[in-house]
Amino acid sequence: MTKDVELIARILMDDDQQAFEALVQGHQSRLRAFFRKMCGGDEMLADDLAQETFLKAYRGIKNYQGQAQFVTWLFAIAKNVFYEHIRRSEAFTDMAEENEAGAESQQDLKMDMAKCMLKLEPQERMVLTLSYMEGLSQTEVAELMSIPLGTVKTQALRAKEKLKTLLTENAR
Amino acid sequence: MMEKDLDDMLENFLMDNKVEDNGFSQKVTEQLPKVSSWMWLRDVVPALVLCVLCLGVWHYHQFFIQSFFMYRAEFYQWLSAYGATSITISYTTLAGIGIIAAYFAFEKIMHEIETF
Repeated sequence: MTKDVELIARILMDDDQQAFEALVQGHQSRLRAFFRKMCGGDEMLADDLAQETFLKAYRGIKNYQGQAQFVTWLFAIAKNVFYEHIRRSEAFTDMAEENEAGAESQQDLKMDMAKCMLKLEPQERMVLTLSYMEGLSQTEVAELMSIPLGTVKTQALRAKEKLKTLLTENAR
Repeated sequence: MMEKDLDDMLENFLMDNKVEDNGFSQKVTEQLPKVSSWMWLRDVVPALVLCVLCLGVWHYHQFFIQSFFMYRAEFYQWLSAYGATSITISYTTLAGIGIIAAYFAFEKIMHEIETF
């Protein structure tokens, strides 16, 4: 947290691009993992969305007030980038179908999970993924998604149940 | 599959947030000069649009106020005293709409350039 604040200060004062690179290094793992789960394991697309999120964060870094953790602010941008992507891409459902076909041949557990994740509603998928991210409390998830805390809890539980049902059906 | 296995599997999958950098950070940072070179426009253009709007409102404020509160006959009388016609009003309105539309179009174009 303190490290993030220092890096942000360097970016704001000196437009220090090395500081930005360090900031990206510190958060890329979680952000890319988040997008991979949201995009059903499509790594290329996930990386593109993560890159777009970081560039948006860079452009808007002077708007970061420092009230919330940087990671919360970053995920709020990531949420908007993801929803914008869904709106922009008519082929999103096609992507789900393509991944489904790929998973059958691979028989990979992760791919099965990713495939099942794609069957959840985007908001459910987001609540579930964010709820399990390190460093993000459910209150923060509610705040960044602009939904009540109760809804986060209910949706996370419901999404988990749905996912379990889908996985059980898949295993048969 | 056991319920507990499923739970563990799910949690392992969701909690697995480790992705190797593999040059990703460097790739993102390489995009920064491109973003930076356009950033001044994002600050200047909205400020300019705001200035034009403020100047417009300041210049025509009396006209706007009177147009709200005057009776039609007096309104036209007042308009003709200033040499304005209904065509002038239409043009002013159109110009206003044009400026706003141009601003939104510019935002859209900037977004496309930056995310290209």
